[in-house]
Amino acid sequence: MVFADLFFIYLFIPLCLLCYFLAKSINAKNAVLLIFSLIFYAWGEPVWVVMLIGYAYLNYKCGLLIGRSRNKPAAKHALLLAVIVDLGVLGVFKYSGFFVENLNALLHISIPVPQIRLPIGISFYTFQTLSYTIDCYRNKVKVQKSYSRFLLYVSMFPQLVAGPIVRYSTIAEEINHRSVSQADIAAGLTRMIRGIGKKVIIANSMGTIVTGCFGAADQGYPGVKTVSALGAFLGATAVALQYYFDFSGYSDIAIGLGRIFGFHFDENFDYPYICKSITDFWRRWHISLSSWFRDYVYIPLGGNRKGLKRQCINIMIVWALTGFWHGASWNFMLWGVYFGVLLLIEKLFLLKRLEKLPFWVGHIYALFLVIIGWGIFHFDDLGALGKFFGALFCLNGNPFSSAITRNILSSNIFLLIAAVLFSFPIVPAIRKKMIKTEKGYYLANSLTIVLNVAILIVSSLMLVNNTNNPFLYFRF
Amino acid sequence: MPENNKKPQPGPNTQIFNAMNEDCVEMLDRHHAEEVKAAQARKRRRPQAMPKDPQRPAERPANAQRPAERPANAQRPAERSANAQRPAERPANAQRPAERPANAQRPAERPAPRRDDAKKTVQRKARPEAAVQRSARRAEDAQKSAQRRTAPAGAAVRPRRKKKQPKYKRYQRVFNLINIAACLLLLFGIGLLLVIGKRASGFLQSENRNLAEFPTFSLSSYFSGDYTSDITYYYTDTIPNREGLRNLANKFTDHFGLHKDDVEIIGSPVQADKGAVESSKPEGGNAVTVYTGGREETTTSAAVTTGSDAAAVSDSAVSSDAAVTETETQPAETEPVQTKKRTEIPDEGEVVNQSVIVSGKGTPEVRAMPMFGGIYDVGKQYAGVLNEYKAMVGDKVNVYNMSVPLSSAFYCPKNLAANYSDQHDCIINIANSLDKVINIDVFPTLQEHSDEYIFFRTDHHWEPLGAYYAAQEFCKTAAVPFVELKDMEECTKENFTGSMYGYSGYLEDLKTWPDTFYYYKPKNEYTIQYYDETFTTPDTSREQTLFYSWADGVNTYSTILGGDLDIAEIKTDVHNGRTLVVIKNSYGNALIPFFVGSFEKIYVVDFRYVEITMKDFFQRVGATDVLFGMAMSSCYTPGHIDAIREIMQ
Repeated sequence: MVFADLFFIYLFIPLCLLCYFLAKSINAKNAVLLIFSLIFYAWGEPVWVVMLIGYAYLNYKCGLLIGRSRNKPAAKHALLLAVIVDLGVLGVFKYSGFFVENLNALLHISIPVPQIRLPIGISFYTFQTLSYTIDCYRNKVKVQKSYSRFLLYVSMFPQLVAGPIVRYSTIAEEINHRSVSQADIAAGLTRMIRGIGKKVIIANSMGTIVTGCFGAADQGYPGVKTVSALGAFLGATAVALQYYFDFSGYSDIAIGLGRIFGFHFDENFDYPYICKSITDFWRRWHISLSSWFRDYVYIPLGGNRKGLKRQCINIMIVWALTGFWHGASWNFMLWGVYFGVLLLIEKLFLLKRLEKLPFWVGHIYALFLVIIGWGIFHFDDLGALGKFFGALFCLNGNPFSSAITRNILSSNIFLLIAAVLFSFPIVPAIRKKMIKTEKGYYLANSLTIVLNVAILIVSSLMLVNNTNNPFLYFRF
Repeated sequence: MPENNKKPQPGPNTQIFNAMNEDCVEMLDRHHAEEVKAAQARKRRRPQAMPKDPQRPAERPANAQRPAERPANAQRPAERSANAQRPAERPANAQRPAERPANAQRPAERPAPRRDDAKKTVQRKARPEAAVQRSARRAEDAQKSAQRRTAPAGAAVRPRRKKKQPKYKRYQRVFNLINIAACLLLLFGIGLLLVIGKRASGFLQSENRNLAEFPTFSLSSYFSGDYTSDITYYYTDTIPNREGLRNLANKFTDHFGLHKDDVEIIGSPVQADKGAVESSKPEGGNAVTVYTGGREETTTSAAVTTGSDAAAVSDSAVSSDAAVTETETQPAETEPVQTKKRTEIPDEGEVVNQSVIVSGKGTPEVRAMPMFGGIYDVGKQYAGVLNEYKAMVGDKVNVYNMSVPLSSAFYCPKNLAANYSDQHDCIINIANSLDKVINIDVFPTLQEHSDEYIFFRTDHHWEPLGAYYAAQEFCKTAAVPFVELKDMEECTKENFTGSMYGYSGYLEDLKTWPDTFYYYKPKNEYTIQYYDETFTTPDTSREQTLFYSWADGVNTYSTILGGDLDIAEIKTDVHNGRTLVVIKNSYGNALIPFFVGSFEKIYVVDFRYVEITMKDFFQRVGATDVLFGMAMSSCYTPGHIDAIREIMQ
C-alpha cells in the first residue's frame, strides 16, 4: 500500500484512527498499530510480510542475546549474526540480480539472473534493525524485551515503506509509554495533509514536466536525444523539485502520522535547497540516511581520526554506499561517487573559500551541482545519461531552446514558481511574522485550517486521476 | 556529516546557521510548543511541562495522574512524551552557538568529552569502556545535534517563549480543535461516502474500456499481490462521478501556467529522425507494374453501376441518413457482450498513447492530434518485412504498401512541427527501401484535400472521406474500377467524441465540440462473413454486416467492420477475378467500403489479432493483391513490425 492513494487516505487511515483511539491501554494501542502495520505491509507484499516477521524475530533474539551477554564474546557473535543476516537479506533481495548481471557481462558467462522482486521498504527496515542491534551492542539503547513491541518498531506503517529511517533510540521510550495531546493530533494531521499535498499536487505534476522533457523511463527516455539545452535544464530542475517534494512529502506523512499516534520521529529534510554548499546540502537532505551512514559506517571506519588520506577513502566509501543504497544500478553508484568527490573537494579547500564569498555564490554553486546530480540520479540508463549531458551543454546538435520547452515552461510556470518558493522555508517564515500580532495570529491559525481542507480536497481530486502517481521508492 | 571537519568555534558562520535555524522552525512543532507555553501560563504542574531533569524514567509518574485529569490537562502528559524524546536538548541548547558548526562528527574527533557529552552521559549511564563505545556515544551526540538542527522547534523556541505569552494565544486550543474536527470530518466523511456511495461500473466511453470490477479472491491472486492491488485499483477506478471529479482536477491543474498560444503538448516527447531521407532511389522507389494476370481490367464497370441509380442518390442518402440515426442507439444496449469484447482491444500504436498535440483550444476548431516520431531505421525494417512478403508470394501477386499519415502531418501547429518527423519523409523512406512492393503514397492526395473533413479532430483515426481519397489513389494504381463518392450512400453520426479525449487527459473542449462521423455505403451487391482469428469457423455471434449502426461513443469509428478482431470476407458482384487481402490496423477499416466496388473478393485481416499464417491464408483465399494499409505509427513501431513478420509463415 502506498500513502498517496485514496484507498489509504480514506479507508485505511480512518479505520486505523478509529481503532487506535478506541483502544485504551498502551498495549491495546500497540496491538492496533501492529495489526494495521502488518495489514499495510501485507497489502503490497503478501508473501514477504512473513519474511518481515521472521526477520524481525531474528533481530529481536540477537538483541536479547546481546543484552544478556554484555562484554562477552557471545554478544559479539550475536551482533555479527544480526549484521550478516540484515545485510544478507538486503544483498539477496536488492543486489543479487545486479551483481549476477554484471558478473555475466564481465566474464562472458551466463549465470541465471535471479528474478527477485524487491520487497517494498526493505532498505529502510534493514537499516532500522541494524541500528538497533548495533546500538544494543554499543549499549546505547535498552534491549527491547517484548517481541511484539520490537516487531511494531520494525513494521510501523508510517515509516515502513519510505522512511525516514527511524532509529530505535528515537522511539524506545514512546513505544512503551506515550500519550497524545490534542495539539499532537492537530499538528500531526496538518503535517500529514501537507505531505500529501507535496506529493500529489507538486511532486506528481513535476513528474509530468520531467516526462515532458525527457520522455518516460519505461520507454528509455525517448526525448532526451532531442530535448533542447534549456529543456534539459528545466527537466533536471523539475527532477530536483519532484524528488524533494516526493521524498519530503512522504516523510511529512510519516512524521505526521507518527505524531498522531504519539511518536516523535526526527526530521528528515530541512529545506535542502537553501544549502550554501554540497556539505550543507547533505546536512539537510535525507538526514536519517546520511546520519545513519555517518554513525554506522563512517565513524566505525575511523572517520577522520586516522589521517587525511584515510578520511578521504572513508568519505568515498560512505558516499559510494549511500549512492548504491538508492538502487542496484550504476547510475546510483555514480551519483554517490559524484557527491563524494564534491564533498572531498569542499573539505580539502573549497569550503573555506566559499565561506568568504557572499552567500549567494555558494548557493548558486551548490544548487547547480545538486541539479546536475539529480540528472545522474534520474537516468538509470547510462546511454540516456550521456545524452542528457550532451543536451545540457548543447553538444547533441540540439537547439538552446525549442517550442516544446517553451510550451512546457509557460504552461507550468506558476506551478514551478510555487514549487521553488515552497522549497525554501517561506511558510514558517510567514507564519512566524504573522503570529506576532493578535490579528495575524488568528489569521494564521484560520489559514492553517482552511489550507488543510483545501489541500486535502485538491489532492484527493488529483488522486482520482491515478495514471500519474509514481511510487519512486520501488528501488530503494 | 562526515565531511564537516570544522572546529567548534562560534563565528559569523555560526550565527548565520542559527538565524537560519530559527527560520526553519517547523510551524507544526510550533503549535505544539505554543501549547506547552499556554499550559505553563496557566501555571499548572509546571515541573512536568518543562522538564529540567534529563533523566527520563524519573518523569514517568506524570502519567499516573492521568485518569484524574480534567480535559484541560489531558494534553499535558502528551506534551511530556513529546518532550521526552529530547530531554537533554534544553541544557545542550544553552550552548548552541558553540556546537552549531560542529554538529556533524566533531565529537568523534575530540578525545575529551565536552560539556554536552557529559550531560548525555548522565542521561544514559556512562560506562567507562573501550574507545569504540565512547566514540559511538559521541557519534550519537553528533546525531542528536544534527537532529536538533532539523527539529529545533521545541528546542529553539521554548526558551524565548518564557518571556511573555500574549493573551490571545490561549485560543490555540480552540484552533487545534477546529483543525482536528475539519480534517477528521473530511477523512471520515469522504471515507464513509466512498464506502456507502454507489460505485460506478460498466463501460467507460471516454477511455474505451470497462471500469474495474471488484476482484474475486483466489489464493494465487492473493499471493501474487494482484488481489490486494486490484482492490486498491477498484477503489479509485470506480469512484462515483469519476469523470466529473477528474474534470474538476483538470480545471485546477489548468492554472499551473499560461496557455496563451493555445497549443498544448500532453504526454512525453517522441524520438524522431528529422534529416532528409536518402535519395538514392527515385521517390516511390519502384517501377513495379501491377500484374493483372491477363484478366480484363475493366470488366467491372457494369458491376459498379449495379444498383446505383445516380439520380436517386441524393434522396436515398437523406432518407437512409434518418434511418441510421434512428437505429443507432437502440441495439447498443442489446449487445452488451459485444461492447465488452471490444474493450479488450488495445488501441493504436504506442506513438498515439505517448503524446498528444492540441491546437485551437477554446474554439470549435479544437483539434487533438497524436504526435509522430519515426526512426528511419525502423521504417526500413518495415519495408524489409514487406519485401519478404513479396518474395514469398512471387510475381503473380501484387503487394502494396499504404502508410497513412496521422492528422498531425497536416494540422500540426507550425511552431511545433519542427520537433517531429516529417511524415512524408517517413513514407518516402519506406518507399525507398521497398523492393518490388508497390508504394501507394497517399500523402500528396491527402495534403491536397486537407481543407476537407478528412481527419477527426477528437479521434486518432481518419474520417472515411480521407480513406476515400486514399482508396482512389490505390485503385488507380491497382488498375481496378473505383466507385465515386456520389454513387455511394452517405450516412452520418453526430456527436462523436473520440479517443483523443481520453488521451488528452479529458480536454473538455473536445467534448464541447465533437466530431461528426460521415461514412459511405456502397450500393452494389455484396455479402460479408466474419471468421475467427484462425479463419476456421465463421463467427456467428455477430451480425454479418459491413456497417454496425450501434457503434457509438468513443467507438463510433467501429461502425465500419465493428472492430478489429475477426477476419472479414467480402464477396462482391464485381467479377474481375481480383482478390484483395488487406493487412491493416484500424486505419485500414475505413478503406474497405470503397473497395467493395473494385474487387471480387476482399479479406480484411488485422495483423495484431490474426492467428493463421499469411502464407496459408493467401493460398486458401487465392489472393491476387495484398495491401498493407495502416497508420504510419504502426509502420514505425518495432512491436507491430515484428507482429507483421510473425504472421507471415
